[in-house]
This record gives sequence, C-alpha cells and structure tokens, in this order.
Amino acid sequence: MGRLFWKFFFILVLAQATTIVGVSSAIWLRHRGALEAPASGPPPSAARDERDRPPPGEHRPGERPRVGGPGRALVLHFPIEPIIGGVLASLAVAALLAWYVSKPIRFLRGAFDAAARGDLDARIGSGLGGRRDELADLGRDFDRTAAQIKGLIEAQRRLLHDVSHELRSPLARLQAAVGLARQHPDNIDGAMDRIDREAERMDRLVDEILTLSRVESGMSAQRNETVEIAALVRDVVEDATFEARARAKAVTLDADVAALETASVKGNAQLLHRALENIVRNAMRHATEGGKVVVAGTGDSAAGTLAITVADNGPGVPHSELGSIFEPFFRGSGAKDGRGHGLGLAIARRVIEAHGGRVEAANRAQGGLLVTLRLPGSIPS
Amino acid sequence: MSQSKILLVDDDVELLDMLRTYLARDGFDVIVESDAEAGVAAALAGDFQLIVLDVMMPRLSGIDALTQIRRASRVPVLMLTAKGDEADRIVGLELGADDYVPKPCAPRELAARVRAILRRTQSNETADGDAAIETGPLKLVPQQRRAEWDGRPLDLTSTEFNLLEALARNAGRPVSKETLSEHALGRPLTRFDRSIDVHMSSIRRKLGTLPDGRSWIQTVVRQGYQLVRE
Repeated sequence: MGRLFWKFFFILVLAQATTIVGVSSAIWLRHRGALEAPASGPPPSAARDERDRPPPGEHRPGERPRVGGPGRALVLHFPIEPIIGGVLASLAVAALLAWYVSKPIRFLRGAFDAAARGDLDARIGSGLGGRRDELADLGRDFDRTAAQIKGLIEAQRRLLHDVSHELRSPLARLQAAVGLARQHPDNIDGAMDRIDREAERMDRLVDEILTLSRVESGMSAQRNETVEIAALVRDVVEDATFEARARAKAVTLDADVAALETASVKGNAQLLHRALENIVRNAMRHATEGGKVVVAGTGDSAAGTLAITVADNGPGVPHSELGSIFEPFFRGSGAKDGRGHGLGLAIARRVIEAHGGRVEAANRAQGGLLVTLRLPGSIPS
Repeated sequence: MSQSKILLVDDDVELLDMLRTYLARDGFDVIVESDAEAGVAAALAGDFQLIVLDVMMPRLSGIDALTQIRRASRVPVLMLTAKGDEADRIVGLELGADDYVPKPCAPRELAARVRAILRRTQSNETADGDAAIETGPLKLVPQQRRAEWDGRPLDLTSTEFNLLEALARNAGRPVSKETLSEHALGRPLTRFDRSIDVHMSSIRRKLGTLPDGRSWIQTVVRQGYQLVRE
C-alpha cells in the first residue's frame, strides 16, 4: 500500500473516530441526565422516553442496572461496545475508501512510469474497470496523450530515416566523382563540376528539410501579413515561365486569376509563395514536352474561401498514390529523374494547412493532374 | 585474363554512369541497367561473371530482383545496401547474395570488392587440389564447382560453395570465421559482421541433419565453424 492509501486511511479513520466519540459522548451525557432524573426531579415520562431511545448497540432498557450508586451506573453506562463496533466499522469503511481512491492512481502511476521509460505502448484502457469518474477521464487522457506522442515520434523517426536515405544519393555520386578524379586526374574539371552540383543538391535538400520542420512546428504560421493572391500567383507563374525557358522545356503556362483580383489571405507571403511555386514546378516537371500548365483562381466571397487550381497535361498519378503524393519523400512510380526529393508537395501541404486551408489532388478526365488549393481569405465583391 | 563482364543495376542514372566509367577504366566490361526489371532480364539473359545490385530501388526492389535472379541463376551477386541498414543486408544474404557493399562507398572500394568476389569464384580452376573432396555424404568437385549430398546435386551459390569447401578440406576441425571470410569473400572479417553466420545458416538448411538431429555444421564457440566428420 502506498502513502496515499495510508493518508486517506488515517484521515478517514480520524474523522470517523471523532464523530463516534462525539456522538457517543453526547448520548452518554443525555443518559446520565436520565439516570439522575429520579433524584433531581424531571418527570418520569421524560426518562421513559430516553430509555426508549437507547444508543446504538445491544443495551436494552431492561438490562440497565437499577441497583448501585450513581457513580457505578455512570461507568457501566459509557457505551463501550457501540464505540468498538463503530471503530471497527469505520476502519473497514476507511480502508475501503482509501483503496478505492488509491488503487486507480497506483495503476495510472504504473502507466506513466512505463511511458517515462520510453514504452509509449502502455495504455490505461479498461484497466480502471468500469469507472466513470474523473480518474477514468484521466486514464483516457493519458491514453490519448501517449498515442499522440507515439505518432509524433514515429513521424520524426521516419523523417530522420528518409533524410539520411536521401542524403545518401548525392553522397554516393560525390564519392564516385572523387573516385573518378583520382583515377584520371586529367579530367578533374568535369569531376569538380559534378562535386559542385552534388554539394548544391545536398544544400537544397537540407534547406527543404529545415523549411518543412519549421512549418511543421508551426513557427512560421504567424498570420500577420495580408497577401494579395493574384499578384502572388502572377509572380510564381512568371518565375516558372522563365525557368522553363532556361531549361528549354517547351511548356506553356497560363494564369487566369481575374476572379481573385481583390482577394487576399492573412498569412506568411514567403511560405505561400513557396507552396504555390512547389506545386507549379511539380506540374511543369510532369507536363509533356510542348504541353501546357494552367493555373486558375476562383473565389467564393460569401463563404470567404478561394481556390487556386494547377492543372498539367502529364501522365497523372495512379489512383492508389493520389493520397500519398503530399507525404514527405514520397516518390511516385512515375518519378524517373532523380531531381526531386519528394519534399516540395509535402511543404506545400503543410504551408496551406498552417493557413487553415486544404490541398487536394485528382486526375483530370482529359489526362494530367489537377491540384487544388483552398484557402480562407477575404474577397471583397 | 579476359575482361570480366559485370552488370550494374541501380536506379540512380548519374551514379551508374560514373561507376561504369570508373569500372571500365579499371578493366571491367560493364553493362548498366537503371531499372530493376530490365536488370533481372539482363542478368538472366547475359553471361555475367558478377552482378552488382542496388537494394533500394523504386518499383521492383533490389531484394525482389535478387529473388528472381536466384530462382534461375547462381551468378555471384554483390548488393549495394544502405549504410546501417542491417535488416536489408541480412535479408539479402539469406536470399543468396554473395556479399554486400554499403552505399555510399568509394568506387575504389566497390572495384576491390568486385575483384575479390571474382577472384574467389574463378580461382578454383587453377587452384591446388583439383581432385574431388569427399567427406561423409558430401562430395565437392572444385574444378566444376559442383556439390553433391548423398548423391544428389546441391544448389549452392559461389560463396556458399567456397565456405563449404573450406569446411570440407578441414572436416572434423573448426575453421575460424576470419579464415572463412578471407576464403569465401576475399576480404577480412569486419567487426559485428554477420555475413558468415547468415551464409552458414543457408548452407545448413540445404544440408540434411545428423541421425541425432544435430546439424552437420557445428558452431564452435569463439573458434568458428566445423563440418562434422563421421
């Protein structure tokens, strides 16, 4: 038995003992009054009444000693047996109550202890029996907390695993380039270019991982700026067009954001820019040669929501992978080039969600992928 | 010695390109495949002396590719496994890979490993003792790299054959893991390396058991392994 049990036990015993002694004394005093009545003169009927209501116990009026001096009757009259009975009963009740309170707490402690030791699979579950009180609520809260923490830790562990995995590819290429340079020192320039490229890749990867973790921890989600959506979309599209031209991939980019001309969103402009940029880039990458990417905006001023859609004419995504493309490091079966890390869309989703919005992906009937961003915003009509 | 023909299967096209250049300059005849399915097809179609297989590939994983190759061929397979990923490594060895190289690794290391395995799998043609080794129900013909158990042919990979050969030549005496590693893999045993143990358990599965139910290959604590002599 723990300390809590004994504390409860003693407090309850003490309280009950006080009550018993108090009540017994009161009854004893009244009895003494009744005994002395014939001598001092209160009406006999009153004494009779008293006798009819004896203290709890087996004292019957008939057994009351009638002979002997007042002093002897006084001692005999102190209700010893009821007091002992009462004390025993109170001990039992106190023990039961203390046990009833301390047992679930000991059980909870066991679970907390397991969690502290790193075993997040420990659950209270139905361990508290069918209780429906604050302690049972505490147990359920513990279960929820443990599950939540476990999920978070697992996500972090997966991310760490993926990150180390992702860093391996550029490292392997870097080592291969160094090996080649060693083998044939005359071609050192080519090898150096390659090493440069791989170093840049790793730098970009680390940057993206940091962005993702920053958005995840909610640090950058302070919604303090008013972001003009139409301007932001045009910015992104302009950059992407420029980039496409530099890469010599013939992709036409159309932006139709007239409906969002006055729309704005509260949030972080830089992150929103990045989110949209990632989605547009992804679309450009998967668009066919000579294909087309269309960015369009619609607004619902009554509901205070706006939507931006990005559609490409690429091969689309297999239905089973549609739900996963926004997961970090997910690379679909269609991803062939080793350029992406599978972080762009994950960052986009986290950013949009941090702004209270949603991202969805669907395959278009006419082929290609359609990504829809929905954001809460103000659209003055 | 004529150029050894090896097949490289990895999904990283750029890395593949560099490794091919490196190994070609090192005197190998290198064919590359960036897709696991095409890699399996090439491995089964061509007469390669060795296949280097990346375990981490999208779509068909290296492990599945290895299973498919082993179903039809005993060609030596060297796996590229993620550094620190013990599970992949063990599974690969269990499925019949001959050895592994952690990735990322220096191309020099890869070339050395490739050469070590080639040397081990081809050396027996000129090695001493061309005569068949017979001990108990086991019969090994090093020259043809053929193994028989109770008169039935044993299906062993090159590394397994080398290990069994080392044990058979010393039947009744324990052979240390260091010696086994040098003999079968052509490399010193590294610390915490379980490759030999995994290969041994594969061989045990292929051999029968003694009448009393014990394995023909006994583990001798701190000394290595021993083939029981009748």
